[in-house]
Amino acid sequence: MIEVENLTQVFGDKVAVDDLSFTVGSGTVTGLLGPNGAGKSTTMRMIVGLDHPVKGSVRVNGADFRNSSRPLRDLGALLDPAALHPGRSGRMHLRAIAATNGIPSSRVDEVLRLTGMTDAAARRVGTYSLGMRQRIGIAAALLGDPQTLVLDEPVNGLDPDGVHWVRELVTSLAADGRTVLVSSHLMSEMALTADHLIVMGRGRLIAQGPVADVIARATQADVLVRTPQAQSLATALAGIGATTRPTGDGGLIVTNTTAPQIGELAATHLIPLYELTPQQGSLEEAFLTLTKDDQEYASGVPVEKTDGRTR
Amino acid sequence: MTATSPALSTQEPRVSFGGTFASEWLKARSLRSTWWLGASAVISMALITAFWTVAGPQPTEQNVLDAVAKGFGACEILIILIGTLIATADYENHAITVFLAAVPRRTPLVLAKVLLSAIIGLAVAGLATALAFPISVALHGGGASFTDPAVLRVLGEIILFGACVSVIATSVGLVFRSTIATIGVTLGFLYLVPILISFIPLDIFTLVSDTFPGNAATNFFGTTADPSRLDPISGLIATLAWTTAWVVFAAAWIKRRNA
Repeated sequence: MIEVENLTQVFGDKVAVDDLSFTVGSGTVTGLLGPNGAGKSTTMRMIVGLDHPVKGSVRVNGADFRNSSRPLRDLGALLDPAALHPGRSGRMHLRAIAATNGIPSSRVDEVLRLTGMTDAAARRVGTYSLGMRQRIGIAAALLGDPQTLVLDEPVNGLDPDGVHWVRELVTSLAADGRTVLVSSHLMSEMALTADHLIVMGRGRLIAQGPVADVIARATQADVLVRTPQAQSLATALAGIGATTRPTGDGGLIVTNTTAPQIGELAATHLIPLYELTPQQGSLEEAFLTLTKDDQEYASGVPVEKTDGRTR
Repeated sequence: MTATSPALSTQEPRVSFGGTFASEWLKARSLRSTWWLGASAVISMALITAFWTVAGPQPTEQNVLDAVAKGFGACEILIILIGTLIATADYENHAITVFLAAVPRRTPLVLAKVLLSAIIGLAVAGLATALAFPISVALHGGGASFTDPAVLRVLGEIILFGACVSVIATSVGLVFRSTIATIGVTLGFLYLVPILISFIPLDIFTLVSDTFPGNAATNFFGTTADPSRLDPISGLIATLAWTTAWVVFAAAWIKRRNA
């Protein structure tokens, strides 16, 4: 379990993390989301004890990780896949980490096998691709068979097979009763992997909870309806406060009501329905809605060129 | 690849100073630069010692030791570089974050680096001196003997000074994190700062200037002492005191600072 209480971090005159509090429970995969500059990595660094907060506290498995006598058993972390000396082999890097906690070389071989890096382990890290560095970073995080894992963008640079493997791995680790905190910019990946979400913006907590709840709170639940009497249904729906808009292909998007209410209303008015489909917003829509006022580096709108192309 | 993580089959892993030192040794020996710089330090001291026999070819004890001392000048620079890299090799690619996460109390990591630096400094300076001294004696055609206690004192202090400059460089590296900055600050601390301090026309500053290792070690290198400098024993105490101060400062700095 990770417990973050009133965590605050300041760099110069910039408040990177602002009075942040959340709990990451065991047995679930918790996704940490936020736009660039939201303070995700800074928060993770404070959880791992690399940065000292100016205010607040972090407890990992109920204790201050900075005083842990079995750190690799308590917490495995992947924060920066580039944090490797290019002149050292992957195996030697892992052996050096393992030695600090008295973990034998046989465990290094185990995690190399687990991450598919056995064949490349003797090569110098400088020859590795980003994906291979990610795998070595994940191997390092797993060395101590940790109770808690903190993984910052673990699928960056991985091929589809690697992405699938990370998804399966974190899910199985959580199913094993461990605490797993993962950050990612890939919303589709988070939607598939995470059970819970913590959404940050400008260093503050914006939303947290089960994925479905966060999406439901941030997006409008629409219902797609197809009927040969669209005008009659629209009039009836307006009577109960719902709004409709045409889809362009003969359908209606209905908001401010639910599919059962639409079905009952259509039955009352003897209007036949060909389709009645609730439409849940996506995690990406929820993310954009939640963080629209907290984008540190908001992208500009593409400028239309005279020849019709954007630039 | 498998998507499930096998459990650690051995006893509970625990962080320890011995394990952290073993880790630092694995890291140092797995880098080719450690071996190249160590070998270069030994060979360069031997070569420069040989060249300096030309400047004082008479087979006197002073000439033999002078040539060894001149050779140590080159060796010292390379030892400073090795000591620097023991600290900065982890910082220049952020690998330090991985090792600080594995040793979150931090002080054992600092002390392991310092101990390794001292041992490597001793070993390199010891090997280099053990090779350079016989070369100097042979090329001079005699003039000094290993069995002479005064000669042994000089050679011993040269080796200890090698360990001290290595430890100082490692400590400075932990504070400044950059290789170039560390070499500059270490050389500045050893040789430039004491000169600047000595320009202040007050006795206390002259005394402080004399305690800086670059000045305090002046009488390490000969059997006849320069009376304007600290005697060899006082010089050794001053050098060890400054080295300890750097280690304490680096440990406190690393403990307090963000990684």
